[in-house]
Amino acid sequence: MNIKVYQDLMGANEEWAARTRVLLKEKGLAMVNLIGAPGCGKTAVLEVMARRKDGPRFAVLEGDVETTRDAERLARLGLTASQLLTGGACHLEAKLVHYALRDLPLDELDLVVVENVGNMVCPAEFDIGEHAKVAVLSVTEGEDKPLKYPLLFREAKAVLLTKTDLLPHLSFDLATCLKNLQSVNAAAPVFQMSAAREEGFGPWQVWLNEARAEARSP
Amino acid sequence: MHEFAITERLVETALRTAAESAGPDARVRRVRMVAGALHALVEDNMQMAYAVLTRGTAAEGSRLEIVRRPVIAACGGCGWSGEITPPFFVCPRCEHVGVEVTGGKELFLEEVETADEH
Ligand SMILES: Nc1nc2c(ncn2[C@@H]2O[C@H](COP(=O)(O)OP(=O)(O)O)[C@@H](O)[C@H]2O)c(=O)[nH]1
Ligand SMILES: [Mg+2]
Ligand SMILES: [Zn+2]
Repeated sequence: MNIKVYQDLMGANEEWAARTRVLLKEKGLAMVNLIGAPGCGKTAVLEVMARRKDGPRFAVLEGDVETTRDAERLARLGLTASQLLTGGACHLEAKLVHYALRDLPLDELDLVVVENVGNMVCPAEFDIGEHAKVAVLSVTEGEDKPLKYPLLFREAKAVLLTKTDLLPHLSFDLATCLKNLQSVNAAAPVFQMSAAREEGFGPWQVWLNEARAEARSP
Repeated sequence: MHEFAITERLVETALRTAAESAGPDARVRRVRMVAGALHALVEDNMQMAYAVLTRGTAAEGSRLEIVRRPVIAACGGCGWSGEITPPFFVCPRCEHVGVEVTGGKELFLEEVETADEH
């Protein structure tokens, strides 16, 4: 017996993502999902954002395979940061994010930033109800990364190009990297920044403020 | 290994479908899924996860078929539409970089074949 099914395999995840979108809408909150390789500088970006005064009020959901070190790093700066442990899985799924989100003090926030598990393949596959996936790429990783991980860069609504303070020490070809990003995704703005020098954060904060304003509009 | 999470849903859905359509004792012989080329799935990982997840179920020993679909895009610049090869999301006719992806994101269970009863 042959049974035709046509059942979407992301269905259950999508349902939780949809609930998260409803909750975010109700609270007028934006949520962005940072995705990049381990060590590309995601937590460092959040640390600088926590120290600046010109950005939105935000809390962090830290995805990690097992330790709570990143959340502790952020809590020391006075940020509300919850650690989501995936227990081995290489990505965050919508249900876990939804439960963690509900426990945040949502009325005191403008924005929730999710730092996904360090990985450029798996997290790009899962919708967690975010307004935007943001790809994070450090200049130490090579200019061809956007071509090697097209799904991530294709899905991203913005790209953070981090650790630009290291450019003088590398043979990284910035123009080629930007061209590669453009060929995969012409629409996403690229924010070049250095957390070490706290440079380049202004335009990124403006973009986040805009995302927040959009989330609040009816 | 997001293949494991996806295969978990595949097996769960296939078993439920078989039981609902062919009865609680139905055995699954073959499962076919469709995956667009935009999903970075390693087929070996899918097959391995499938073998592990079906063990001890009505689908143990069944075959998993994975049908890949190409990425299809439409160009807003010149109106061209057709297959493109990631990672280059560029119109092959006018080199416009803002092509819109219209196919290649699908990910679904398409068919379950159960063994005939004797
Ligand atoms: N030179 C330099 N190093 C950085 C910068 N941002 C992060 N790092 C270093 O990169 C490493 C990984 O950073 P981290 O934020 O933990 O990466 P994550 O795994 O993506 O969260 C740490 O040793 C940081 O000190 C930067 O802007 N410049
Ligand atoms: Mg981190
Ligand atoms: Zn064209």
